[in-house]
Amino acid sequence: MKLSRRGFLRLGMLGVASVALPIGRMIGPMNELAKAGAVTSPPVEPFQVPLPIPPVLKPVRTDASTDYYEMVQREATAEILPGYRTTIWGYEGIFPGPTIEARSGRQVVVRQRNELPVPVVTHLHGGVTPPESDGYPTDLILPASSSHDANHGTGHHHGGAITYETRDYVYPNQQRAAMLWYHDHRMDFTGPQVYRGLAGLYIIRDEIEDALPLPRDEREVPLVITDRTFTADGDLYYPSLDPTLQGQPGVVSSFANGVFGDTILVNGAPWPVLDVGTARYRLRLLNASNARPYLLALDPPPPNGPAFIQIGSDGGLLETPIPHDEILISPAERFDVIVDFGQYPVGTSVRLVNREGVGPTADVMRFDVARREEEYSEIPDRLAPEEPLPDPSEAVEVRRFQFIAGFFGWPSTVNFRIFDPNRIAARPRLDTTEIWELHADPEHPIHLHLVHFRVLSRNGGPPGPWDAGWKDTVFMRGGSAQIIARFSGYRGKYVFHCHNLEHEDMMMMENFEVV
Amino acid sequence: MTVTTRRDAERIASPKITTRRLAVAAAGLAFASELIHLWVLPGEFALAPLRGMFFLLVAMAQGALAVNLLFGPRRWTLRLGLVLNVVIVAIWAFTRLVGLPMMITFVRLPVGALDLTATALEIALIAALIALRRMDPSAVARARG
Repeated sequence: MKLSRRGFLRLGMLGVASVALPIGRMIGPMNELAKAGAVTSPPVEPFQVPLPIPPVLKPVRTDASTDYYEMVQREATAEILPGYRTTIWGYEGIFPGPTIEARSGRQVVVRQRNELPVPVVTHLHGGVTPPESDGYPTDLILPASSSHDANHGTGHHHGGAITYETRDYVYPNQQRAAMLWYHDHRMDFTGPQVYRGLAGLYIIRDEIEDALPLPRDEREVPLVITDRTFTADGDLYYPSLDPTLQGQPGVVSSFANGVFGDTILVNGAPWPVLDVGTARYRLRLLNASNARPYLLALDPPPPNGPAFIQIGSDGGLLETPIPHDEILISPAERFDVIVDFGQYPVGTSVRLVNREGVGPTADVMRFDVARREEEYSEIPDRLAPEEPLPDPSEAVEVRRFQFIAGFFGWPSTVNFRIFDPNRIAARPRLDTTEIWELHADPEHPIHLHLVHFRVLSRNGGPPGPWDAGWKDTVFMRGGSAQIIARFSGYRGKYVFHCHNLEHEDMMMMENFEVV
Repeated sequence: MTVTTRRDAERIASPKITTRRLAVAAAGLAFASELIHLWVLPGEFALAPLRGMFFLLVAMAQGALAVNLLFGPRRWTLRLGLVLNVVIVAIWAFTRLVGLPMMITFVRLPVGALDLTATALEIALIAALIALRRMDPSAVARARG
């Protein structure tokens, strides 16, 4: 068959336009997908690095009612893996950020300054905070030096209260003693920004807690547990579609159900070790991982008695201590526990293990019982004053929310709807009690801003072993849970969402407005 | 002997020129639609391979349509192009008005600037293809040359 010049030209153009160009555009993402599954961190010998403790931030000034802090969010390098330099984004350039110690009833104002190349939002997780300081996902602090607009590259205008360079967050702290944490909450990009290091502790104390004979000072140890993957040269690896975090949000499809790292960090150090004495220690556990839950246990377990005595939850002290041999902690949850190292002889190494982990993620850190120490602490039978469970008969509304994870790139949803900042899913009235029935498939840590709640039931039965006390995050592995909350504090618009940060970024979030 | 006046010549040539211009414009629209789908293809593929494959097929089909429109479309090309673009626009509208099918229900997708632009181009392309189909078949055929 003879091909004319015109026919040849047509065939050539057809080849370019309908085959070569489209297939050429596929090569990049296919490589990205193949690469994403293959990244593993440089090997690190566990239990070599001493456990660091995040420094406590000092206020820049105080007055009769308020402590004022300033924090700069900036890029920095840190030696996370021994011998490697890692670029992080940190509050004050450190990961985890500095700890704020606040007093119940005494106001804190934090001026956040954004020196990062992207917009940021800071949310005080567990805080009973007025809406303008709660860190609503679109209340962005834009970087002073960039051309970012409110759409922050996504093409979607989300509204929100925008500031440039700085914002003052006001935290009234009209709440019980508890360990909260602050972290980035930027619309569509919370996952990568927290992963790069934007998280820190915020501890509220009060007289009730002060009066208890609990372990304190060096025997009160915050443990911020995270998982990360590092590239061969020691940088953090996060499978963003746009690593600049200025364009398309989201992660490559194989990570849509969460970014799980292969290196466990505690307070920013890989599988660290802490020398302890033969005494009780108060461990204040936070799971700040993007998606990984941990089933924590001690190995070897103490010869007599349980591994952990739980004295507090997300919302502060329990009324009475609860013994556990293991603790299931999902992203964003906190557990306040006592471990009695006096039960081990000097010279024992006790590993904090993750019974759901495999290979390197099965270990978290190690405690070396290194010295004899006098015991001064006690675990009283009564911790916090009795606070009766909110009465379900007082609930003015029962609402039902279904959390369904996206699959094959389908978005993650609440009641089969993706997040719309302009849509309100619930309007509870101020100072009323509501029951929310949460359904989850397959696995979601569900977090409500503003309020603390109690778990009433799971799958129609009693609450689970780790549901005690006031909570702001409830972990669900399928099934349903009923929670009861009193919507007190402030009127305004807040969010509730899945705290698997990849689900959250892929729209598993809704608004409620207290009216 | 047949005498062809200038007016007669223009009358004969005019539909051909108009058709040719319309075909080129339609090819431009199809190509622009292809480019938009190609622009978003890497992100969509990495995020959701199934959706990415859909974008790939749309881009390939629009590319083929654009080239065929440039080289004088046959009626079946116009028909196929019409069906293709009606389907693309219908899918876009369905996912924005009703939603993506998910389990027992649908999840509505947000409207973005790029997908809105692509849809506008495709609607214009549908109009152009309808106009081309309504033209004298011989004019369409002559437009090839």
